[in-house]
Amino acid sequence: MSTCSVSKGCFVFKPESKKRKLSSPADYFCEGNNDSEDSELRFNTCQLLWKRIKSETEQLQEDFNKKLFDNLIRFLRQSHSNFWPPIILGVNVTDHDLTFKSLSEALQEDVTPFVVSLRSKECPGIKHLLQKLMAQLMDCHTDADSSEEGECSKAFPNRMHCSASSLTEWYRNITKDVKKKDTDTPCKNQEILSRHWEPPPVVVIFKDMESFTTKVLQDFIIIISQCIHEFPLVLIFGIATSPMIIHKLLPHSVSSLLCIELFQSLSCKDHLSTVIDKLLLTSHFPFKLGEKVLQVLINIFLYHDFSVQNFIKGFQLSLLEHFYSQPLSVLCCDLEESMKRVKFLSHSQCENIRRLPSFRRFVESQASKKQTDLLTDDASLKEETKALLQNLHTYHENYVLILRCLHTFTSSLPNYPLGKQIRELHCACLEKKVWETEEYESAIQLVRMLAKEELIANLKKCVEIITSSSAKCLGSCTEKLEEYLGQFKNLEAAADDQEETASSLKEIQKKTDLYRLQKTLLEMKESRRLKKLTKFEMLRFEVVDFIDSLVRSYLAPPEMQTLYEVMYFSVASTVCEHLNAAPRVAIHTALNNPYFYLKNEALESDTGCISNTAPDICIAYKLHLECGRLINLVDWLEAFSTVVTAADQNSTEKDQMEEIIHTRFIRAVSELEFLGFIKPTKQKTDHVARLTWGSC
Amino acid sequence: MPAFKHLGYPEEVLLRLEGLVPCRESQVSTLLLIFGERQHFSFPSLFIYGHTSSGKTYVMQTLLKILELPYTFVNCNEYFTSRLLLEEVLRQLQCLSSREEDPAPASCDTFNDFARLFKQGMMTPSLQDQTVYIVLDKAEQLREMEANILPGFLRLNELTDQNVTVILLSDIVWELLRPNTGCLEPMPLYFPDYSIGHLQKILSHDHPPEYSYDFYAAYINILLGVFYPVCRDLKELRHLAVLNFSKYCEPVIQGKATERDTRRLWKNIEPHLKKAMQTVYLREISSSQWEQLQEDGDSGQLKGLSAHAHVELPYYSKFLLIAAYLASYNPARTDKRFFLKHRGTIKKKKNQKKHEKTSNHLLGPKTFPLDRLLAILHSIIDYRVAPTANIFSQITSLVTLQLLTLVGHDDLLTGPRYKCNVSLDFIRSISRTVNFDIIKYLYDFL
Repeated sequence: MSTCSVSKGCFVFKPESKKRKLSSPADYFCEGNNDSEDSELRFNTCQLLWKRIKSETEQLQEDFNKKLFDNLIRFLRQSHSNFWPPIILGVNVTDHDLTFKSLSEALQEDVTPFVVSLRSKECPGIKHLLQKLMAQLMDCHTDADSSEEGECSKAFPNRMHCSASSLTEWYRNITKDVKKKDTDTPCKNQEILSRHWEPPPVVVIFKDMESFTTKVLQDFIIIISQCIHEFPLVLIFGIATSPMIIHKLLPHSVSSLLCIELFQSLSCKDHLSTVIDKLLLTSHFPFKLGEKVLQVLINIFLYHDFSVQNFIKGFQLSLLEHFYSQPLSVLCCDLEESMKRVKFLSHSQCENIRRLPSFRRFVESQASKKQTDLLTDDASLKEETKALLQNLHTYHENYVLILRCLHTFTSSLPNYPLGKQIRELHCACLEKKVWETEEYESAIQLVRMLAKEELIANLKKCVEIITSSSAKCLGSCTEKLEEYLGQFKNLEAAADDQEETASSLKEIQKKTDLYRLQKTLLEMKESRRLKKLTKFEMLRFEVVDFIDSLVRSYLAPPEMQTLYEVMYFSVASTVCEHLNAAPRVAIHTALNNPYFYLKNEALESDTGCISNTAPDICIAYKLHLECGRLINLVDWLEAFSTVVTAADQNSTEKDQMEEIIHTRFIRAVSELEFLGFIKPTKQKTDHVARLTWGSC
Repeated sequence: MPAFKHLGYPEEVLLRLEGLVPCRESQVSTLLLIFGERQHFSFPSLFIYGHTSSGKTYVMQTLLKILELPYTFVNCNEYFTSRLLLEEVLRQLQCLSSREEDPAPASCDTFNDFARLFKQGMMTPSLQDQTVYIVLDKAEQLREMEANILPGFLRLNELTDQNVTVILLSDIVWELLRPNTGCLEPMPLYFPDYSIGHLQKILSHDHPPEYSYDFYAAYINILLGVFYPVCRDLKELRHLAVLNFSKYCEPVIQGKATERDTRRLWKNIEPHLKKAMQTVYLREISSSQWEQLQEDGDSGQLKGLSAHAHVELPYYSKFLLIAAYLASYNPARTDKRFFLKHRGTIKKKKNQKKHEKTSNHLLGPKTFPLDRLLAILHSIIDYRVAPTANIFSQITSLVTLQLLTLVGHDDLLTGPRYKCNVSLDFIRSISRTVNFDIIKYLYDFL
């Protein structure tokens, strides 16, 4: 770099703005991709799809909250006093933040501009709590009103009085202002006033009640209870466990100041069911999750976090991964669009199709003439692909409907052999041919024993499900079902079987001796065993067989469908790796097998022996694995230097070498201490204690 | 015959006062004697104590207001730091001296400043020749503030050389409040609890105008019969009285009973009040829900707060909690017996040792290190659980839910210790949902 200066000196140059090539995510998407077939198109498809899915889930979330919020706001309208509705939510925190955010938005929208939300982390003491409260109140007021108010709140001294009286004073000023301005500019304020209530209550939301200290809560409630005569006040508490916590946290003298009302949000499991229902069990979205991936996501939800947000994040990850890793995912879009795209497939993409295992299976089943056509001629391949995609689409439409029908039957069975939730049934169907499983067998057995009313009700539901959808291919199926329903009705009209049994019962009731009674009973038993099935039973068998045939023809697992790889993402290991982080395992791998991360050829070796080319910390770590609870530092150093000097024996400057090794050793040990594997101990001199056991 | 006699105040004021402070006549007359006339120097500090809702605050406020004495009234709970407290006293003093609002409240950081500013504030002619009273409600809060505040207030008279009396109101006795370093002892005055007769009298006072005094008094009598054994808090009783009165009147309005028909009225209200004791009194349901319930009749099944005792937790969190419970209530030496595959010979000793041990459930939960928790977790779950970040974050969220507590040092590197916070019933219901028989694993129930 040069300057126009003639004197010597240090000059500061601003670095030239680097032209970043990789600026947009799309570029990243294309960059790391080996087979960059249509990567841009894939990226755009992915983005579009995600946008649709996102808006769908947001809509769902909104609907879920709406009911709860409506109840709450209705209650607010009724009573304008100090009351305290705790909201119970599941355990997860990430979801709560969203819920509370939308709650405060909803409140601000049509109840009051004064909404404050507090978290326990921000309020370790009553002072902080009040300060936070006041600050947020001032702010939200300036937001709601003109800039003139903003100056006024800025003029407020920094070390303001945070007390009940100042709060009351503030509230009085605010409402006075609004009233005063009402006369000046009626049109503008009319709008505000019509939106909010008069007088607007102050709403304080405590996001996580469990984490607040008892004292802070108590003090706050006592202090705030003195303002209650001045202005309406509402406290909303988010509770993650059970409302019993109220009695645990607050003594009676405090809780008697409150009027408690309970609102319960829907359980997160229900929420998940709806999300799965709307995202996966629908033909709106072409992208599907394979059985293993879905299982991983559901397991994370049920076993670990109960967070629907995380589930959706996982879904997003699989979506991205699918479009990133599968070149044929260009075709993973709506049917019409994919038909168009098939036309423009390049030769290498055609080769990709030919390489798909499901397609190979399909080709093998064709006649030999067609086989050569498909394998050599791109045009005929494209034609065939179109037909196959069409098939896949119909398969999805039918699959969802029949799945729901089957679920109506199995969801009411005792012990739920195929699961209570539709997602369990879905997983079972994805995994393998469901009709070959034992569970299905027992479920069908139970369905065969259903009572008439139940059977009819279920059939009606099935008809409803099938007719409600737009798919046409199952039309004959509805007709058949309705026919069965009609037959059941006819049966009711001609119910003569019952009379027969009734008459035989009457015979028993006549006076008989013991012997005769025994005889007649035996006879009846015999006849019952031999008796032919009643008409109803025959019909029932027929219906169940029909359902069974539906299941067999429409609920085949996706692996059996040709070209399923285009729509289904089934690399569970990637998802697992990304979502189920295992830090200890990762650290262990890094230290035990540095080649795994460093990719240095010199490090490639058997995991058993210790190579001296490995980083020092790895050597120290491996050596320490062989020790007991207390490690002698001198022995450790000895072993360390043996390993390190193993290769070059002919070192001349031994003293200097030793010093260097010593230093390296000390550094490695302190690094291990930092990572939490060892700690200094006072039990024995020159020893350190091990903190971990086993290999990970 | 008026209860209070005092030369300094006109007769009608005293009579009015008498009407307003029922059942506290002796205390009020003592106070009047101590206060003396307006310009008299009074005792430098008074300490009034008594149980919650024995009328301390109310009596003090009414007395000072009715007699129109200059006073400042500050709740120490509300003004929780010394600065806030002192500034509030000064602000109220300013309001006393000058009628118009004073815009600039002085900042006052130390008690020294306070004494100076207080003296200045007292220099106005309107306050010159009368005693100023400073009432500090919830005075036990003063212990939380700087050590010099309480002794300072007790000696304010002397420090400022002004005619001022400080009155402390508190729930606790003076011995618990007295600073170690010694101070000027205030004059103690005890407000005893209201007796049942007093409560009856006071509660009967606020009878609604459409019903006769006797009718309402009979109602209060029944109410006290039910609630007096559990609750002597006047405020609470008043709340309950208002809530349930409409139910009591029901037969009268419907014409089924007359106001004199006490027996029938009692039959009608008694089960109702019993129910109220279980729900409203414990705030299991809100008063508005209770009113709703009364309107709907008793058929409406309203679930109280305790009905929602069920807690939803992820699968592994449940096991973590169970493991934590086991670690908290089993001695560490018995872990081998419960969680080792081949437990061998230890079983023999079991019977002879059984009678000597004390129940761990009586002693309460013990702390345990993280390693033990994980070890137990791995042995009670049949299949392998990877030690993922998700597992560790669940431990943290259990801590934030207060189901576990982190004990001692917060240094996570050197092995954190936890304690399980849940009850046996709770953990049993949790383990039932995951088909785990926890009793089999508890040392106390062997």
